Amino acid sequence: MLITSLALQNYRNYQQERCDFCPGINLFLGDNAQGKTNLIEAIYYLSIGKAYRPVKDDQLIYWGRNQFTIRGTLENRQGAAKVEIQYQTDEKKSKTIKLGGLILKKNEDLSGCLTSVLFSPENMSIIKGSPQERRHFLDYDISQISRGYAKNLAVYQRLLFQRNNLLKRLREKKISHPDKNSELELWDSQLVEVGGKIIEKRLQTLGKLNPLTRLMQRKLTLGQENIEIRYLFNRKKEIYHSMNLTELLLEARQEALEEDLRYGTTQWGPHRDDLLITLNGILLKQFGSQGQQRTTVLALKLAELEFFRGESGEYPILLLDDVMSELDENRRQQLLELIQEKSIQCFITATDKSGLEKMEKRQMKFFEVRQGKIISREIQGEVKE
Amino acid sequence: MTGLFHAPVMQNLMEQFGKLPGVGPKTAQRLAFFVLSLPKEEVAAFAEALVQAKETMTFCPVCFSLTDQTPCYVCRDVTRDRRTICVVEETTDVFSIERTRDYRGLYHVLQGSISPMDGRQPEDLRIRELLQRLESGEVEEIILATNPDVEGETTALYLARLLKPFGLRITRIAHGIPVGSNLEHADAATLSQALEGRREIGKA
Repeated sequence: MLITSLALQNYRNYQQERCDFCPGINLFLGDNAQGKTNLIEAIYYLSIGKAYRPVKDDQLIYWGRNQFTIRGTLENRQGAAKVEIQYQTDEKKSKTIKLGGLILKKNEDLSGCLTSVLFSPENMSIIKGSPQERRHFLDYDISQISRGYAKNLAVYQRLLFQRNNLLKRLREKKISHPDKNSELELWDSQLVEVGGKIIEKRLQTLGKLNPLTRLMQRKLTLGQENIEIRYLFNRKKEIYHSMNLTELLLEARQEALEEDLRYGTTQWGPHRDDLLITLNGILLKQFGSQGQQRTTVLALKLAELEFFRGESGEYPILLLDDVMSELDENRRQQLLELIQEKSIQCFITATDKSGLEKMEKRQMKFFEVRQGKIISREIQGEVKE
Repeated sequence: MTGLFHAPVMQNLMEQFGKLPGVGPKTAQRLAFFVLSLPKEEVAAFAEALVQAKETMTFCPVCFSLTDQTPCYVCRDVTRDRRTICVVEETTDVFSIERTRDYRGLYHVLQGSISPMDGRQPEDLRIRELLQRLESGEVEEIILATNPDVEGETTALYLARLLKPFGLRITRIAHGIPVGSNLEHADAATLSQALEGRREIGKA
């Protein structure tokens, strides 16, 4: 997949700017706070139709204006298409996404047109952050390849919300032992069904992601480290694909019922699960060094690239925001090697070219970014891609 | 209201408009001032229409749809098939299905769906009345035509379980691609659901 051009209007610190990308490596160069990350963010926005969490659309508008527009030309093996996203705050806030000139009924329908893998310093939260961050990482990957999964997630959230409302009402009425035929059981049977589907898909995906991550980690560390991602049901029990999920969920429900009624929230289900990431058998979140954690996130991201390619037959685009400076020389070399081996379109932000100009195997394009303007564009290498 | 002071009568009028679904403070203000711009007779007719509708329309004692006759025109129609009852959430759903002209059975309007967030329990719906209708033994099939959202599905599931001992044929309306439209116009979630609910074709 490729994005061949990007045009911004009133987006962040860009009033009006346009650039054409090369299918190889695109480098955004410039000092801090010039707008390099904003470009990465805009490309990411085009790929999923919304801002990178937790940024709000209102924050993306150029100061003093009331709308922003992002336009881009995408290319995948089906052909090319123009995408336009416009957000405006006049009277009523609204967002319109057009694909090939047609307005999309649902913004989510954009997903899958341009899949992207973003690697930025914030991704460290996959390791260090809450279980929610890790679930989100996995859910993003699956949602990109399956609309059915995204739909199931939305249905599950709604069921959960309704069940929690019911729990609170039952608590007020002091009904501590609702019988089996009660309304609660009605919601629970659906939560178990949809929740089971969600967990099953997660386990299935993890089964593919695991060997890919291990492979990438070995490449990055020259075979020294062994990584493993495991699925933690209810944050405490490791589960595998072969297990009976319906049984597990029903068991967990039974166990937590009293607590659920006491707190008025649901203490079991895929929204309470976690991923356990270990390195050479040691829990990375607690015992891994900063460098190990960073390399692991990079390995995860590179595994995502291969995962998407396996699922869709095409490489997604790779967005590397401000990561070159965070890796040691060895890992940086490994990363650059990997990028050069494969025909992946890359976008990299950096403060200077050092260490990056040696990638002669791929076509490169340099963009110098200064105060919301792209002031020079320079191509290096053959146009063979 | 929108941060402005208004004469008490206007304040009151805006509050009344604000009770309508989908009407926020800004729209309420616009509507209130629009009413003032109308000739007096039209305003009187408007108010009269509101009161008259409220006074005339009642729930059909059989199917609980909103009607100006007792029982409603469907329930009193002797040509309708009394063996089938189509269960819907609202009276407006009855009109939608009537538009098809294909359905010749009866209806039952639940007047809502099960939704804890709105404080609606099964007891708040017209379910007891539905069970009473089954006592005559005339009914053979129940079609569950609640909305295909989470609350509608839950209500359908609840009814399916409740009605099981009656030994009736219980069906759920299908959901998927709109007829006559192209696949290209269907959103991905609907398509993915339609694929899941696919059926075999061409079998003798």
